[in-house]
Amino acid sequence: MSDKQQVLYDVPGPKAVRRDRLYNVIFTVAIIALVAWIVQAAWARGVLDDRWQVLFQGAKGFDGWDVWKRLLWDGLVMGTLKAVVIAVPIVAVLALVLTIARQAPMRIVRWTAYGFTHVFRGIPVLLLMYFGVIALDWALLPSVVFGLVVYNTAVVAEILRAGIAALPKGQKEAGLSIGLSPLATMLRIQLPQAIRIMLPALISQIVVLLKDTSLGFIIGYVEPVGGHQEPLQLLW
Amino acid sequence: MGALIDNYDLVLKGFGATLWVAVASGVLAFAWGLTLAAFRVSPVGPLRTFASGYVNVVRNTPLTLMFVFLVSAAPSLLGLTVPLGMPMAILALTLYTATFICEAIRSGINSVGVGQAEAARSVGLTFVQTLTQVVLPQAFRSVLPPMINVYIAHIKNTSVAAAFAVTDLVAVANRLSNGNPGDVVGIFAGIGLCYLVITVPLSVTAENLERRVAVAR
Repeated sequence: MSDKQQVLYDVPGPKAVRRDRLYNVIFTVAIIALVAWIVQAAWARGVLDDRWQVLFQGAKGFDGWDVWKRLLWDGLVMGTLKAVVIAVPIVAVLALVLTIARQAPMRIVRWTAYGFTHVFRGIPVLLLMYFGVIALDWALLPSVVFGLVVYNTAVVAEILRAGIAALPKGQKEAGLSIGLSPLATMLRIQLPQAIRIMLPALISQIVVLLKDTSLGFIIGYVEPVGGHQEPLQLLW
Repeated sequence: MGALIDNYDLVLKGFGATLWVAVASGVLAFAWGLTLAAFRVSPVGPLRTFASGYVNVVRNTPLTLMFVFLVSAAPSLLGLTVPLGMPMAILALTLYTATFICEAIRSGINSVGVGQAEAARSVGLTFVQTLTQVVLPQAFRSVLPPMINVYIAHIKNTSVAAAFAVTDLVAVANRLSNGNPGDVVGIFAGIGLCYLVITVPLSVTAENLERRVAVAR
């Protein structure tokens, strides 16, 4: 990639090298000056003094250990990671079902699957989480997982469909011609290859899912962004 | 659904707020994202470092964190107090979405044939000219579908603003369902429909464009 971008400008000659060096110095100085100014201004506002002590000594009846425990254990492990670990396998299974349904021989099944993907790709995860809490009257964790699962199932199914579409047509034909059923062709020939092609997109979707757990903070679920609130309110 | 029809003015206001936040921050994010993309491919090292640092940090942290940062950290850290509500929502979404736009544009720049940039250079165009006259216009067509997908995600991300004092569609859904506990499912279905009205045409367009661009290649 880097050598491709190198194409946008020439390998610098002596004059350009001198000019680039000047630019480098100017912009480096500018960026460092900006950072220094921010730090200095923050210092003047007292950001750097004793308020960080909360991370070591705690305050308001917490000690430093409690603060870290709340951030890392209650927030990260029992909040974010728990929701992710529950949601990802469910998403994987449902997305497989949805992908297969989108290629189903029956039109009703196909269209239902098509509708599901398009509808739930277009609705905010937050709205789905609120739906879990308010309309279905669920606890917070199930609501968070519900929102994540519904949205990500639609997206992952779409990614897998694109992966299957990218395979050469001969793969499916070969599977059918050696006597596999359409379902077996899908499961044993097409999906394994599609998953392999689409692995980067699938992994970045898991990152999106992980980031989206922070929406749980809005509905009141405990995870790091929200978990920060108490210690942070002591900070700022 | 009944509650939605009774309170149609509130729903309309929420729809307007969602749309306004989405459009305003969408335009700003495009400008900032384009700048970042230019930085990331520029010959000047510090700009590259700055842009890739910014993009990687912001892109890999949740949008909620950006809001929380602007609410609670920015005033004392940067001396920057953004008024809660619309201005904050627009700023947060601009800073966040710009990173995705930057990456979409950058991958588009990489998809333009090497020969194009070489040809532009060999006729003596400078870096800025090569980028703006030759590469970006051609990158545009392959960038369009992923860009639309970025904007779909952007429109849905505006919902986070509901938690930070913007009366958008999600906030309206919340308020109405507190007032009308019997009609909650209808309210949510209706609000969901409002989002779909904006997003489904976009996602269908993206799909069609993808097919057209794929054929053209």
